[in-house]
Amino acid sequence: MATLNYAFKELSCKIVYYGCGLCGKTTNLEHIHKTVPGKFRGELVSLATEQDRTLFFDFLPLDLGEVKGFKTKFQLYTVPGQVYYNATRKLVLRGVDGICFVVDSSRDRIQENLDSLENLKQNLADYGYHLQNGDDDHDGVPWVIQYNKRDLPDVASLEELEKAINFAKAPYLEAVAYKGNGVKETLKGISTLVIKKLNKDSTGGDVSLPKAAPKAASAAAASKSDDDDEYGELGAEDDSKSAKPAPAAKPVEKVAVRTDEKKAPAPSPKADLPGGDAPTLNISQACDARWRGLKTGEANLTLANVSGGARDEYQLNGLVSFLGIFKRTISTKLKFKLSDPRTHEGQETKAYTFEVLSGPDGPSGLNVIVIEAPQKQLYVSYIGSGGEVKISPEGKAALD
Amino acid sequence: MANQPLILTKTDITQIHRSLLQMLKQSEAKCAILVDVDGKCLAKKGFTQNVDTDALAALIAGSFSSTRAMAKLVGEADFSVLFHQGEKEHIHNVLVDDDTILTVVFDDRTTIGMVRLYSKECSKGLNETLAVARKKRIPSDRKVEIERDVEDRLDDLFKD
Repeated sequence: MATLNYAFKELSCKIVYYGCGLCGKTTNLEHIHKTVPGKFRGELVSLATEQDRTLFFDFLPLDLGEVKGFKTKFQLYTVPGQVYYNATRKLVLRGVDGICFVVDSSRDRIQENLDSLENLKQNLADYGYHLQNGDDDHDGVPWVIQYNKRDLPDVASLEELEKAINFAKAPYLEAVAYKGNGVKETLKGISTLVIKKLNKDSTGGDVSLPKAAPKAASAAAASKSDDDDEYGELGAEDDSKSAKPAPAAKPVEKVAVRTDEKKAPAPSPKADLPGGDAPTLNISQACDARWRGLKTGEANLTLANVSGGARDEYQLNGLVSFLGIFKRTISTKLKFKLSDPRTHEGQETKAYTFEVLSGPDGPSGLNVIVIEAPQKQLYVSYIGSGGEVKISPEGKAALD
Repeated sequence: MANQPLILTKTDITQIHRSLLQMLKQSEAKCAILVDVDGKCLAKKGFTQNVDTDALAALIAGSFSSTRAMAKLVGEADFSVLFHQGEKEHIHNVLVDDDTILTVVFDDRTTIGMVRLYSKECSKGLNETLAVARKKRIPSDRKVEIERDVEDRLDDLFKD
């Protein structure tokens, strides 16, 4: 089944290439792997025998990047074609969102293709799925047929193949996979059907979720924590937002003083902006880094509002060094999450917490807290390779 | 219907991340990955930068599926724990529910006992979060109308 992650705005679908032995399923994946630039795909994982016959599956993750605010990912699998590997072939079909049925067009292999199709139907039935049979079949698994090896001398005609195999009038394409002909078109065909199906699934069902606040919602709603909008802002009209690169963080002047707070320009009225409670921050701080309670390193961190960005967005930058040898940089975008009253060093104060927006540049498991009084102080913790690292202002103990 | 998409909202992910982080802190393991038995990585926490989590998720799901098939052959419903021991790095897998696996990667800084104890505890919390998530459907005003754009993106990818 597809996975929709509204926290990271990620959509992930599973597409399986199915067909009889040596029909060209792995060749399809190899061509995609060869053609698509490295940053948009992962490595091709192949569980194959010594003779390069697929034993369990081939796997290729494809990352389409952001499509209308959604990071869209396809996971492409092939199955082993040989009849006697049915046990493993069936396992790969679990949770499938779309199927490319690859057909060897040779005249003398029509029966093998038909056997494979029957096997596919049977294996799907064991999971309670079935192949989509016509446009009105909303419950079926979408599929396309790829008539491969069209360059062979003994190919059966399209009419013959269609009559023999395409019982459901599924979309079909011709291909010569080893040359790359028709590979992209097949993938496009099945991707479109999978996304369409996903939308049809959205009608009906148990909608027990709170509806997201409409865009024209009152400012009061917008200023609450982002938990109010479980799904974030998505949708077809959101083009401009997703295409715009994130504004660069405003460089923060390095100051010798441990913590320095600059007066912000007159803040706009809360009601006009998202994250109404979001504080104006401009902290540059020398810190101690602790591992298992021991001070093993130091750090310089800066945290400031993103220049020109939304008021509740911040950039955290810094360098943590351990024993003067191991170094780790942090460059992460944060979003204001919550303002909480807290007792700190015997004094009632406000504490702000944040949500990590961009993960890859910073350490995992990053937690950031800013204590308001007596002056704005930054406390950070994250999970490093050796366990949790806690960073606190120089000379101060880490937070519990 | 058997094949409904799994919807994870911000609250679900926050809860899952919180559970994973707590488990990592307690067990002192390196990283934790929540894997769908279909082969998708649902969430990850800890030191995952150097791990190809997509491929790992697909392989773990494959290995779990084949283990489940093995279990059936000997008359068991499932083998709920799977452990891979390496020279330095080890992987511990535990079933969270029928469709989800919690994978924990750890090294000799901690022990299998610690990881087993805390990942079992963590899987109970995850189970509850996922049970709620699995009942959700995409609200009709939140459709993912991106077919046309997906086609264009694929055209771009195959250009050169």
